[in-house]
Amino acid sequence: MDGMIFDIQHFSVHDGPGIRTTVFFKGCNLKCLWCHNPESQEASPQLLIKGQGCIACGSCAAACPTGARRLGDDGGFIPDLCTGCGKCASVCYPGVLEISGEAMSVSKVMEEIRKDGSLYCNSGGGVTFSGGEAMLQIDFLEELLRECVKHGIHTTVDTAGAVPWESFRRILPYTSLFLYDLKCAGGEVHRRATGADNRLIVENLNRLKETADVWIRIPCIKGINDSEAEREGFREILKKPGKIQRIDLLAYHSFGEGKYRMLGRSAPEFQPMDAVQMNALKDALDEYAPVAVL
Amino acid sequence: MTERVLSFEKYRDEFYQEFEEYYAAYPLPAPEAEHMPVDTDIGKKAAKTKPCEEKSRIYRAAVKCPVHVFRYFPFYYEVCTGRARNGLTAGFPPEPGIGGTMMRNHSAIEKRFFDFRDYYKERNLFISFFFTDFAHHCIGYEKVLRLGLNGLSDQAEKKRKNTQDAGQVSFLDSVICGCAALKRIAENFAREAAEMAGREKDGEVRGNLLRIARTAARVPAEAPETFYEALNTIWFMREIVMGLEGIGIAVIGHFDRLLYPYYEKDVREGRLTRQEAKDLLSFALNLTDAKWDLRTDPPEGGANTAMTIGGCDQEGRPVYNEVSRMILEIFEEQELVNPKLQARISRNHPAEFFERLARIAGRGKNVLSIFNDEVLIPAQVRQGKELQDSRLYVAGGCQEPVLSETEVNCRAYIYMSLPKLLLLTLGVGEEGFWEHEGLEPVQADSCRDFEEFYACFLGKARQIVHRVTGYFNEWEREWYGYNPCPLYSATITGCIEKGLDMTQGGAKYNTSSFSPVGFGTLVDSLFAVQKVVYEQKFLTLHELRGCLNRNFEGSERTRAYLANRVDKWGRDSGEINRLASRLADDLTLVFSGMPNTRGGWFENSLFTNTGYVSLRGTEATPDGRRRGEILSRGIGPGEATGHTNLSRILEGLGALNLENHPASAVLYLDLPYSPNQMEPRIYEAVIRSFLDAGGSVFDFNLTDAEVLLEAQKNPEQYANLVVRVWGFSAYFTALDRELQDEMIARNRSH
Repeated sequence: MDGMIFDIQHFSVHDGPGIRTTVFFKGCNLKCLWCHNPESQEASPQLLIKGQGCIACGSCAAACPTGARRLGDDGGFIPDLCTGCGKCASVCYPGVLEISGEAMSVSKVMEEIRKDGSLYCNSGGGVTFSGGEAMLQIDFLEELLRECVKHGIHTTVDTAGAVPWESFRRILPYTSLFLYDLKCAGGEVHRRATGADNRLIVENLNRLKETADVWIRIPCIKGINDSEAEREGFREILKKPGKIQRIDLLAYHSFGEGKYRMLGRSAPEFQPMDAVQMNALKDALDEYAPVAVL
Repeated sequence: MTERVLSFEKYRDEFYQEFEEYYAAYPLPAPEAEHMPVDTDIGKKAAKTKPCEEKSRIYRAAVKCPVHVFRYFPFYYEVCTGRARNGLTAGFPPEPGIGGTMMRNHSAIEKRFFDFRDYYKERNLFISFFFTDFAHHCIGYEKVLRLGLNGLSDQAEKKRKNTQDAGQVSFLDSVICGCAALKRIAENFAREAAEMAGREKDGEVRGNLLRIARTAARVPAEAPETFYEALNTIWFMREIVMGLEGIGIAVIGHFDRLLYPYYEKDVREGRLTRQEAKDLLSFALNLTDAKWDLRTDPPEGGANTAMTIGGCDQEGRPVYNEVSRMILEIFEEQELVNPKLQARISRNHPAEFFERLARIAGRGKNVLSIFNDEVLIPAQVRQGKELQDSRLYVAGGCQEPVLSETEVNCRAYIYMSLPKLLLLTLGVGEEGFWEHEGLEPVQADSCRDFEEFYACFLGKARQIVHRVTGYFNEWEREWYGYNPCPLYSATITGCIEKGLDMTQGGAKYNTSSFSPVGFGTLVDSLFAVQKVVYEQKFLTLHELRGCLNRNFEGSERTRAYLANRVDKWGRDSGEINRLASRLADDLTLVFSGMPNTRGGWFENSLFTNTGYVSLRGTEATPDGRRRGEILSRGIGPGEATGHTNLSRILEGLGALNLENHPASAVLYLDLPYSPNQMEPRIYEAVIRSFLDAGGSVFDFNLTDAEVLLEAQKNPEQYANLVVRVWGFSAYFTALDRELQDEMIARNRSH
């Protein structure tokens, strides 16, 4: 069985406890306006074009079977014609063209994961499956989690939770920890910001925290979820029964900008939540779990 | 101790101010001492005077130099020999003052050596500051602490009675003369301190001066008995012997092992409190930062002062005690640039040791090197050194291991470009070289496969390295006449016993090593040749040679392929790790085993220090690196490979058998994080995983590019930002711009 993976990052220190390897699944069912991994949204492979380094050798145009990639002053790319086949990237030696998204087998992913055993062991770390939305590829995810458990590796799933409960039920036995993203508290705010309602997300969270270890992660973005109503809304959600281990407040960062350019899209402009609001949110939530500001 | 020890907290500012005012005037003219040996006897008759006798004149002259006692500093060590404030970073070029007199008198060798060396430097084969290592030595502190100067002198007297050999007599006389001079100098300190105490109004300062007066009258002529006396003996010997011998004594000793017995006894007998001991340690550890000018005129190569902690004793028992704790507390609490903290670790050490080291690393102190006992001790034993001696290794200036009390070595003086050895095999940048050396040029084009090419490379590399070894051995024979060091030698096991100076092989162990630079660049380049020329047949050797000779001009696509489409050391794994592993072993056959002239041999190392920059003129290499781009550092990845991928590097480390590198294999670990950004246990895990992977040495450097950029823009706000350069620590804002930019570039690529 293959899964669609767009990155495997070693030595992650902010995706759960200890030193971790984070496996990024491609494809997402939310469309958050501020998404900092825009290449994670589409489920299929996509061409990324870097702004620098082209030596104008013309190999890519010659290799392109659909005429999407051609030589010219207009950037030389017609996205509508691109099938993501990757033939251009395979001959682009300077690495200006790159395909994001690779179909990987369970054993190939496991090979990468198992390289860092010593770091996991010494730091209390492990593997984190993130995305995109890892739970959209539930069969592949379940298989990977089973393998990790078999090898004694601590497993974490980072999810936005907008999937059927059945998916959670399948992976619960093999998942040591969930990183659960709460984007916005108000239903309407959530819909505007991510394109989807958050009712399912909240319901799943309520069930999940009764049976599993959960860290809440809230991206903190100015003008999106920094209102008093949002703050109260987060409290409403978190005060339901069931235990949360920890809450991480993640200040918005613009690291994703370059990726938007490489996808030929313009980057959204957002700012991190003001420190005052951030602290207010921290104070509002710390009765439910220890809050870390990252 | 009747007088209270000065409180470091209370007197820190006075102490720094007093040092600043005093040393700002350095170098002071050396009264008569500088001229006496030069003008009267030696000038014309130098040739006739035996080297050791010439040195004895310097010892005698030193007695006449004024001594300086500080009011706010508990130790006595400053003799005004005319030495520089930022003195003896490398022992060469010769110090101002009497320590450099002999070298200046025999300076003819310099030009001869530079003429020889410059040929190779121009071709980027190797760089060498001087014909021997003048910088990375360690006094046999154990012996001085055990016997005192009287004991050293008695030992020399006894030996002298039993020998007729003129050379031995000359050496032993000089040892006796040197010990006598040091004792007279201590008496001078006693007198000076007593006089100052008589005039002193401040009660606490007077107490300090009286203790100096009382102690100096006895120590180090006699062996020290207390913690204070032992600590003072270390600084007294280190600073004064360095000032007289004109060589760099980088190591101030294995502090916690040496000092704990004194501490324990003092505390048990009610002579000393923990706070007093910590105050004394604080003053001692701040000496270098207070003395040196590290801000306006920072020395290239750092202040060359390193302290070892942890490790084990002669019987293999782990060392981690109250003195270790106090030292680690001081490093955590204060902002020290020196001494470098060389921590020896093993799985036998308590978790607390790892936790404290991790905290120091995580706070971005950037003065920490980690040494793996489990690799470095067996590495010494493999060379035939006794286990008990091997357990007492310390580490010189940057990372050069040396066995305390028993070994004199030259570890950091020939930095050889590994990629250049490959290029010579390929026939790049060889113009006139083979004729110059009287060697056959290589016929690599006839190699049928990579195995043949690899053998060809190793064979040629070995030929060249052995040739260069021969040259350096010729130079080494001149060391004794240029600058013998009988006083220093007296502290090292073997020298008095054999009646031989350290420059002639008096020590029990006398090793040398090359510093092969650019291991990562070489692995990547060889792998590229294997893949591209012999397996994929993407290029012929002839075509590759053409590309390299043209510095890839007109071959951009080929360069891009080599740089991006061939696996790289430290980024990929599997096959390239196997090549790296094999190469690291084979390089030991190239660089070690040759005899030196001191009865010892060459051992292998893989550290680069400054070489990766100095040898950047090496022609374009098959890994896609262009001429002028820096080489890889230590055993780390090539500089174009991208930011430190710790996971892949540890995997690579696991593939190398570093027990074959007794002179150490260094990983310069630049982590692109801000201080306090990650939990200490992350760093602890890195240290432990380094142990698990069988690493040898690594330097911690936390350098967030954003922070460094800010520091460049607003230097005044970042005056205390300390970074690790290649093996030494420095204030970032005091570094030259090029070095700053290089460090920023390296940590930005993620």
